[in-house]
Amino acid sequence: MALEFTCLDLNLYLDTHPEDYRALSDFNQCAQQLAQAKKEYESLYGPLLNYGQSPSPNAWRWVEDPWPWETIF
Amino acid sequence: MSPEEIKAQGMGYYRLARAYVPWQQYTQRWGLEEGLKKGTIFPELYRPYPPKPDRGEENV
Repeated sequence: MALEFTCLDLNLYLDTHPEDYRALSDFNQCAQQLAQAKKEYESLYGPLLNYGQSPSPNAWRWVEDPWPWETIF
Repeated sequence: MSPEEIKAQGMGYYRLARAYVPWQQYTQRWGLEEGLKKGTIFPELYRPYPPKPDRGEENV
């Protein structure tokens, strides 16, 4: 969540400062780390989005998660 | 009003009835957790509301 927030804030800064290459390089580094973290999460807990992001090659993983009301906190 | 007159009034370069947004320069940013907690990663944009002492509220 913190990684995603930092990416977003850099994204907003870059919208008005597209030629700030230091910010751009920080953004790219951050985005890469975020992608890595999401990949790691998904390998442990299943896909974060139903399509467009995570392949589901062998079995349909999207419905494997517990439903929200089945989660015991 | 001429620029000289504006200066004489102590308003510097700025003209009346215009809105100005100073240009932000990226110099430093906070770490991931601190940025999330404060709602911005840019220290120069951080401006929390002052705490209300009567309610004992604290701002992080």
